[in-house]
Amino acid sequence: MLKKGISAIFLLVAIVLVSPGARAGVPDWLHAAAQQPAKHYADDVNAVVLLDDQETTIRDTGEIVTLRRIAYRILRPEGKTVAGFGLGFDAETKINYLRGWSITVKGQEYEAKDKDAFERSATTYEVYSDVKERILIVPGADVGTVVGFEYEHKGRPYIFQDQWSFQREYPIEHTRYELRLPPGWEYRADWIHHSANEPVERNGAYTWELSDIPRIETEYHRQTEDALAGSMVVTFFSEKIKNQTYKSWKDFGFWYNQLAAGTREPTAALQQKVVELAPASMSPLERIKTLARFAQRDIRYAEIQIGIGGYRPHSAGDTFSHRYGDCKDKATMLGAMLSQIGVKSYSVLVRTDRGVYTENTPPSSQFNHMIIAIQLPEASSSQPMPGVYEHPKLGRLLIFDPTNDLVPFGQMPFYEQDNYGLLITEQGGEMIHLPISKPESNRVTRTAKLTLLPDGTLKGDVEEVRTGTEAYKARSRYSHQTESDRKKALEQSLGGSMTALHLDSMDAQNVDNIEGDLVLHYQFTAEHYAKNAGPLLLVRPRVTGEKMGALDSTKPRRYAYQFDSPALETDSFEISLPEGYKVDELPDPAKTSLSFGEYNSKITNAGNVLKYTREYKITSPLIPAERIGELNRFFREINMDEKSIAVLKRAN
Amino acid sequence: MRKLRHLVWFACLASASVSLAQKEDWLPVTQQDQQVKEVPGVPGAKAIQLYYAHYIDDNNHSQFFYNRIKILTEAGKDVRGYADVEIPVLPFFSVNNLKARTIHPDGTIVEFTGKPFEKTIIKGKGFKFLAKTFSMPEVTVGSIVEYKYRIEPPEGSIYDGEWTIQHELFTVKENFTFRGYEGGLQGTRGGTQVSYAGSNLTKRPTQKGNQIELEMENVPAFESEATMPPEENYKPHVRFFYGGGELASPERFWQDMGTARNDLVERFIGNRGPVRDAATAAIGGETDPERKLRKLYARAQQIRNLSYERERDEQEQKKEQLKPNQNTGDVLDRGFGSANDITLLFVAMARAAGFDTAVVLVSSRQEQFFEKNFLSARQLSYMVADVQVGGKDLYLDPGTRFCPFGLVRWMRTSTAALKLDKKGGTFIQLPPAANDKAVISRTVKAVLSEDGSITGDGTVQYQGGEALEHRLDAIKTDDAGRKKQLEDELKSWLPNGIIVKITDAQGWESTDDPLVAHFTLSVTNYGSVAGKRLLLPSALFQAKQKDAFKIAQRKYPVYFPYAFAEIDRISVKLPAGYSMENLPQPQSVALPYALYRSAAQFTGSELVTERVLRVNGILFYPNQYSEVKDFFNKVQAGDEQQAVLRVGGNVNAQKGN
Repeated sequence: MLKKGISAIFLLVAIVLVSPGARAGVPDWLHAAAQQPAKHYADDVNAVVLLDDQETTIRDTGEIVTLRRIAYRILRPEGKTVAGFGLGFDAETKINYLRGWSITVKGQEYEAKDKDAFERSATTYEVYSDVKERILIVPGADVGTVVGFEYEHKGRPYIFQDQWSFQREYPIEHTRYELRLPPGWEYRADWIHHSANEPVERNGAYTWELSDIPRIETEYHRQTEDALAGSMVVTFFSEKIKNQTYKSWKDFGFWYNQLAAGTREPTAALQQKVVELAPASMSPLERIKTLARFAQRDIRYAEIQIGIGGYRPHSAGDTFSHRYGDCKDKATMLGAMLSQIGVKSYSVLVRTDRGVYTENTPPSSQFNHMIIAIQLPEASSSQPMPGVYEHPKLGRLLIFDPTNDLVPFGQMPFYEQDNYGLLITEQGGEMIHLPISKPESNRVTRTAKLTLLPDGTLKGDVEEVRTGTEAYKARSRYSHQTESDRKKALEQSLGGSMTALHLDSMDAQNVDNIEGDLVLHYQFTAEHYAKNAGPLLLVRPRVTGEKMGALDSTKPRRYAYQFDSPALETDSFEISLPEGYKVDELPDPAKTSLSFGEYNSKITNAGNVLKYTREYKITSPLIPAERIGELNRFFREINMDEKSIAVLKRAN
Repeated sequence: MRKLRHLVWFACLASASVSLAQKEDWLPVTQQDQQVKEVPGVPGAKAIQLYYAHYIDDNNHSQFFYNRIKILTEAGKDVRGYADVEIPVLPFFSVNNLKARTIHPDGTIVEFTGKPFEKTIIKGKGFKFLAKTFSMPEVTVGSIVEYKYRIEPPEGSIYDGEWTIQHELFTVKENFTFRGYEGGLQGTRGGTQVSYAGSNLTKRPTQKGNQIELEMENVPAFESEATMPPEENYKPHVRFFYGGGELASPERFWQDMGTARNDLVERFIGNRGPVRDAATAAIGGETDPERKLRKLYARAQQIRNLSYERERDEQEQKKEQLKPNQNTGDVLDRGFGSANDITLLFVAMARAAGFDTAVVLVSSRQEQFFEKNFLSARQLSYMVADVQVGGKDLYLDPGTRFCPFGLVRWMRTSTAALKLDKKGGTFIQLPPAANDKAVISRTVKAVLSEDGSITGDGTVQYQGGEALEHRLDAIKTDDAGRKKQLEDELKSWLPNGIIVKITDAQGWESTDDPLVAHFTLSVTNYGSVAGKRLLLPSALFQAKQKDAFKIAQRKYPVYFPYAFAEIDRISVKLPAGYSMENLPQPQSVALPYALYRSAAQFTGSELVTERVLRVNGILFYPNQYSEVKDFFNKVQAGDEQQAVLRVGGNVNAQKGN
C-alpha cells in the first residue's frame, strides 16, 4: 500500500514528445476563467487555480460518474508544470475523455485531446500495480497562460466515498462540488481541516462552493500536506451498496473484516512452520517474538497490487509460500501464525505520515499501511515495551510493524508513534491513539576522550550508543552502506565541523542485531582544530554532534514543526589540554527549558582536562505554530553553545 | 540499450547461432558460488553478481542476458534490492524466453513459474515503453537468484550495440559475445561494416571473423564519488557501430563526418547580400579589428536564441511561425535561431567583414569527455567560431546566450574540437579559461554587537563565467526566483542561521558587465563570548569547495567545472569598549595552480579582512589529491582563525597585522 510518486523527469520527457493536437476549441468556461481579473499573490506563488469544478453523479447501478473542469493561470516560470495534467485510473475506472486547452497572454489558443495523452504506471514502488495515470500536456505554457482541463470518468468503486480536496499547493480562487444522487440514496458530508458548510440544493443536486482558498506552503519540518489541507469527505448510502460503505469507524472495520475474511486461514505448511519456529516449550512471549521476527525478516517486502488487491491482503498461505508480500500480507500472515499458538491479534490500518488521522477524522479510506496489534499474555506485563497500547477491553496490545525489519520487537517506528490507527476487531473498527515512546527510549549517548596538541591538533576516541528511533535511523542508513561507504559518510559528517579530519578507525556494532544498542566507535585526528592566537589557544569544546535544527526565521511560520520523535542526546567529552596551557576563560553554561524540550550544557576544568557535558531532550515531537518563537530561541541557544569557545593560555 | 542505426537491406540471414544457443543454458551452481559470503574487500555489500552474460547476435536479431546474483544481506533482498526484477523493454522490442529461479543455500531450486507483469513506463500514440517485472520466489539471505531472457528488436532492424562491463554489483565473471550482421544495410556507403570501440577496458576483446568476445573476472562495482568528472568517462564499455567505409578507422570517420558537416555549414553560411549589409551596418565606422568583431558579436546575440527557450510543439511553431532556418539569411530575416544558427550568422558576418573565420565543432564535457574512438557525430554537435585576429585564434561563443565576447562557456573549454575545412578539418583543443574569467567579489560592512551578533550590508559581484552561469540559471525563473537563488547561494557560503536579504540585483540581461547584487545580513552568535573576551572568525565567507575534500582517499579526480577566483573584503565595526587582543595571522598558501591569501587589519574600531582564493585548474587527479586536500584544509583553517577581542584595554594594542 505504500506508494511513491514517479519523478518529474517523466514530465520533461513527455513535454519533448508531446504531439500536436487539432484546432483549438477552447470551451466557454475556460474563456470565462481567463477573463477574470488577475488577483495579487505572493511572489513565490507559481500558479493559481482559477476554477476547480467537479460534478459527481451517482447512478442507481452504483456507478459513479465524475466530470471535472479545472483552470490554472501560470504566474511564474516554475508554474509551467500545471500544463501537464495526470489523471489516475485502474481496471475498474474508465476515463470517458480527457481534454486540455490553453490561452496565452497574446490570445493564442491551443488544444490537446485524448489522442495526445500518455499513460504510465502511477507509482514505481510496487513490483506491479494496475493503477495507471493518463497524462495530457497542453502547449503554450508560459507565464500568464491560462490552461484548462476537462475530463469525465466513471467507475464502480470498492468503497462508496468521494473526497473533495479543495486545498493544495496552489491557491484556489473558486471551487465547486456538485453531487447528484438517484432516488433512495443518501450522503453524509464530513469536513476535514475546514468548518462545515451546508450545500445549496437545486433540482436534486447538492452544491458546495468555496472561494479564495489559500495554498499549503512549504516549510521545514511541517507535517505532510494531507495533515493540513482542507477537504470534504462524502460517503454514500443505499440499500444497494450496504456492504461497501460505512457510517462509522466501527462499520469500516466490519467492511474490512468482510473483505479480508478467510485470508488468515492457515495452510498445513504454515502450521508446520509455526510448530518448528515456536514450539510450546518456549515461553508465550518468546513464541510471539519468534513468529513476529519471522514475519518481519523472512518475508520479503514486495507489493503486487491488482484491483481489490489494493485493499485485500493475499492469503496467509500464499504469502508464506512465496516468502514475500506487502504490509497487509505480512500482517495477515503473522496474524495467522499467532492464532496457531493461541494468541489473538488484530489488523491496524494507519497512515505513515503522522497527522493525517486524528481523533476527529471522519471515517475515510486514506490509509496507506497496515500493521498489527498483538494481544500480549498476562505474564508479559512485567516487560516494559514502548509499543504497548493499553486497551480498556482487550488489555495489553503490542503494536508491531512486520514491514519494518529494523525496529525491534516491542518498539514502533517513529512515524507510527503518536499517530492514529484503525484497530479492527470482531466488533468492527476503532480509532486508537498509538503510543509514543519516552525520550529515554530514543537515546544518543556520545562520550569522547580526546587530546589536544599545542599546534591545535585534536585526536582521540569517540563512542556513540544509539537506541530506539535513533538506532533505527542510523540502521536505515547503515543497512544500505558497505563499511567503506559508512566510513566516507562519517568522514563527510565529522568534516563539517572539524578541519583536516582524518578518521583513523571506525567500527559499528549491532548493525544487524536490532535487539542490541547500535554502537559506533571511532578514532580521529583533526589538524588545526584549535586555533592559535598569539599565546592563546582557542578550542571549541563541543567537538561533534550538531543539533541545531533548520527553521526559516525570515517569514512567519504557518504550520507546526515536527520532530521525528522524542529524543534524548547526551554528550560527555573530555579534552586533555596540551602541556604548558591552562584554561584562561570558559564560556557560560547553557540552560534552556521549554514546553517541548530542554537543553543544557556545562564546561568545566579539572586539572588539565576540559570537560564538556550537555543534554538535549525533546519531549514532544510536535511544536504548534504559535510556539515557533520558543523553538527559534531553543535553536539559537543551541547554536550559541555549539559555537562557544574556551580560551587556553600558554603559561609563561 | 541500443540505438536504431540501419534497416536491413536484405532478408535476414538464416545462419542460426547454434554455438551461442548452447551458451544460454543454466550454468551449474558450484560449491564456490554457494560458499561466497561477502564481496572481496567490500564488507557490508548487499549482493554479489556471480555471473553476467550479454550476447548480441545481429544475425538472429536478438540479445541474450543472464544475471546470477547472490543475496548477502537483508537489504539485498528488500525493496530496491535484487529479488525484484524489472526489465525495460523499448518500444517495438520484445522479451522472450524469460526464465528465472531461486537457488537456496542448501542447493534446492525454486523455479519462477509465474507470468511477468507488464508495467507501463510510458505509452503514447502508437508506441509502448514497458518493463517486464516479477518477484523471485522464496528469497533469503544466501539465496542465489538468476534469470535469463532474450530481447528482440523490431523485425528488419539492426541496432548499434553496447556491452556494459561494470555494474552496480561486484561481478565475479562476465561473458560477452557480439556477432555482427553479415548482410547489407540501407544507407551505408562502401559496403556494410561493423566496428567497435572499447573504453576503460583492462582487457581487449578477441575477434574471430565476425565474432567478438570478451571475458572478464572480478569486476568491482562502480562507485561514484562526489565532485568527480562525469561518471561515463570511467565506466568501461564496448560499443559497436554499423556503417560504411567511414568505419575503417576513427581518423577516416571524423574526416568523413567533418567533410559532410563542413559542406552543410558552408551552405548555411553562404555569401548573402543582406548578411553583408547587416555586417556593414553593425560595424558602422569602427576600424579597430577587435571592436569590429565585438559589434558583429553583439549583433549576432540580438537574434532571439531558441536554444534557451522551452520546447514548442508543431501547433505552437506554426502559430508563432517558428520555421527551421535554411541559411544565415533566414536567421537574420526572421530574427530567431538556434545557438548554432546564431554562431553561423556571426561567422557569416565576420567573413563579410573580412575576418578569416572558421567554424569549430566542439564537444561538451558536461556529461562525458570526448572520446575519439566512439564514432558518434553527436559528440561534436555544438559550434563556436574561430576568428584570426592579429595572427591568433580567438574563440567566440555567440550561440550561448549572455556569453561575453572572448569567453567560451565552460563545458566547451579544455576539450576536443574539430575545426572544419573542406578536407574534413583538424582536431584542436579549445583552451581553458583562467581563474580571472570567473570571479566572485564580495564586500561586507557589518557591525558587531557585544553578544556576538552582527548586522550589515554587502555586495556580491559576479564576473565573466560566474555571471554567465547565474544569468543562464536565471532564464528559468523570475525576479523572485533570482532573488531566492542568490540568497540561497549566499547562505551556503555563510555560517548557519544567517539571515540574508537581497535588496537589489542588476545586470541580468547584460553580457560583458558584471552581475551585481546588494544584500543585508544579520546573524546571531557570529562571535562567541568567553568571559571578558569576544571571539570573531576571521573570514565571513567559507570556501564552497571544502566539502570536496572531506574523505581520506579518492579513486577518481576532483573536478571543478571551471577555474575560479574569490575576492573578499569584510569590514566589521567592533562594539565600543573592546580592544583587539589578537589579530588573525596573515595566511599565504600557494601551489602552481592555486593561491590563498588572507590578511586582517585593525583600524582601532574596525576589523578589516581581505581574502583571495584563486584556483586555476579543473581536474585534480588522485595522485594530486593529498596536495589539493592539504591546500583546501589550510584555506579552511585560515578562514576559521579567530580575532580575539577583549573588554577594555588599549584599543590600539594590535593595530596593523
